[in-house]
Amino acid sequence: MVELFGEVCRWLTGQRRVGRTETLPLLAVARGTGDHTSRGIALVIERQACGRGRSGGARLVGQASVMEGHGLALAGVELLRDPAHLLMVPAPVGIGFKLPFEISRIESRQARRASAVAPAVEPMASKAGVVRPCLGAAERDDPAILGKPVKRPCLGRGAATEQRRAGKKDVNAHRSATVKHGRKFQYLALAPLLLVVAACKPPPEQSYFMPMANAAQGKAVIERVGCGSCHTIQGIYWPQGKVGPKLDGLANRALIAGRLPNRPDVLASYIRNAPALLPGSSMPAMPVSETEARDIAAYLYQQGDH
Amino acid sequence: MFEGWPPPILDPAGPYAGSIATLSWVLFAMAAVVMIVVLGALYLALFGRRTVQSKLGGKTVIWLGGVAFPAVVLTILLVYGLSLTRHLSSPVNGSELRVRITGEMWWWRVAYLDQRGREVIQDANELHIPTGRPIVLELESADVIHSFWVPRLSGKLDMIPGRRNMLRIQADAPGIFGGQCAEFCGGPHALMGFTVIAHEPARFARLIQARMAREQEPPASGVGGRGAQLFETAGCAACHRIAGTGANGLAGPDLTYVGTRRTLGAGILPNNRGAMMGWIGNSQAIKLNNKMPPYTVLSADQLSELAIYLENQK
Repeated sequence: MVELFGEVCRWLTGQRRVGRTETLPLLAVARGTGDHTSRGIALVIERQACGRGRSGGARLVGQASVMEGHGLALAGVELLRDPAHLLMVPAPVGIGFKLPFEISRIESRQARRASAVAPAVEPMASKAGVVRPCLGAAERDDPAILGKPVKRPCLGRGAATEQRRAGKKDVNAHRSATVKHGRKFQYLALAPLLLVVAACKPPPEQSYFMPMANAAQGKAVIERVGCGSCHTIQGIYWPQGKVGPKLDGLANRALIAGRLPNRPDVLASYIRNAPALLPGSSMPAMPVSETEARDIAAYLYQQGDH
Repeated sequence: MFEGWPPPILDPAGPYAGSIATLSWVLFAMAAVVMIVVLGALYLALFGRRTVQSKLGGKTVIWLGGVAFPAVVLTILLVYGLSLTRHLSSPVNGSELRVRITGEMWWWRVAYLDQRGREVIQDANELHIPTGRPIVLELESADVIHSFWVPRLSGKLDMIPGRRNMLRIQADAPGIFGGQCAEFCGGPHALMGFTVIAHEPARFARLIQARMAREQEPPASGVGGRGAQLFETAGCAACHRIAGTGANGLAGPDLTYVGTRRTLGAGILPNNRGAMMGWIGNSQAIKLNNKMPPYTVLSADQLSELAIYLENQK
């Protein structure tokens, strides 16, 4: 999970270093590990640059809320139940959030000093009204700035005043495009979020596939022949027999009846005549044709684990 | 085109169900006509011309359309309905074939009666009848109210404890007709099915003859075999009966002809070896709270031997 975090950071930040004063457009997600005091998701944020007349520090810049627990939320709306969903995304994407506070320091994963950042974040977070901020760690591109604090020209009040005092003509020169052009770009960072939500799909379950067989027909045969009198089969509501084993997740099993290899042809012939394959088997021969046995096998392979 | 159409209740296979279905369709058509007339009148009352409206609200229309018309139509309907269905409840004479069906929780005890009214053949959950002649079913109950219903052959008739109801059924052509208990009787009431199999008269006569012979003689197959021994030692004989053997239990269905049945468990499982093993092994998982305990003490080999023994009971 943290690798993904790093990957995402790299992808979206390019080769930018954290230490620069430009804004980080990227935000990535990591799941907090158990050794941190605060579990949850860490979000690197788009740093809020100071603006004219505005002070730095913690201030509410958007309605984003920090994730806690497992999942992602935006403005209190839960979007993903489990960040493990990200593992199934074929390419890393970034998720944009804006936190109502700034992270003073982003530490390297190796240093595992994310917990050191927490004390800095928590007062800011509580000031912004965020209940339980969580932090993770990020990969760094440049080991040279490992451990160095992020330069923050916006800390405290009067940064603009300072610059004016320093004689800079364009006080906004150092700022990113986002600040220069106003806030209309700030939600562009949220666009990758849609990719994440769209890319969520259940992990592939079907390890085995029965060629040229009709699973729907298989279900009808199961009901007609009464396999449910001994077995509990997914998708067959009644009967849920308790004499034989449950037949869920057959696609992921290594053995049929604990003895035979779990191959489609073996399963089909086992269904048809179990004692012939396993002498002394508990299961008797069932009155199905070969095609029906293959259909049953196709149906069973389609059922997942529960 | 429509799967499951017509539903059994609208697909009569005998004269008794036929008259009920005919009456239903007549009532439906009549009700449709009346509805159209009433809707037409309503439309006129709301949107018609003033002259029409005033006529519609006048005394003539109200007396004719509100009193005379319904009285006439309903009288006709009553006479028609009663005459059409009078044969459903005509008294029983002595020459018909009679079968006594007793509703139990949650299976059916079937006893074929001879001319003198004695029970000569015992069976359960399945009824064989000849085509082309009315069969009188004596419906009784051993415990609570059940209701016998084979929709393609007849209407429902309750089986009331302490009372004997007579129901007539007749199948016009050979076939297999499913039935269902139609009065909630507790627990697995929904899993209490019935099967009626209609044969050509000659075939039916042969069947009855074979069964009468079977009732007299001990079974030919399986005597002394492992299955027969298990049937005794596992205690099956305490509830089940197999004619000609020592098993004479009356609490559960008669198993003398269980090998010939199309279904097990009162119409809920197909009759094959696997289903039989599953039923004996743990019928509670299939039909929860039925009165047969799960036989988890038996090994798979023993279940298999029992199943083989029972599938030879014909």
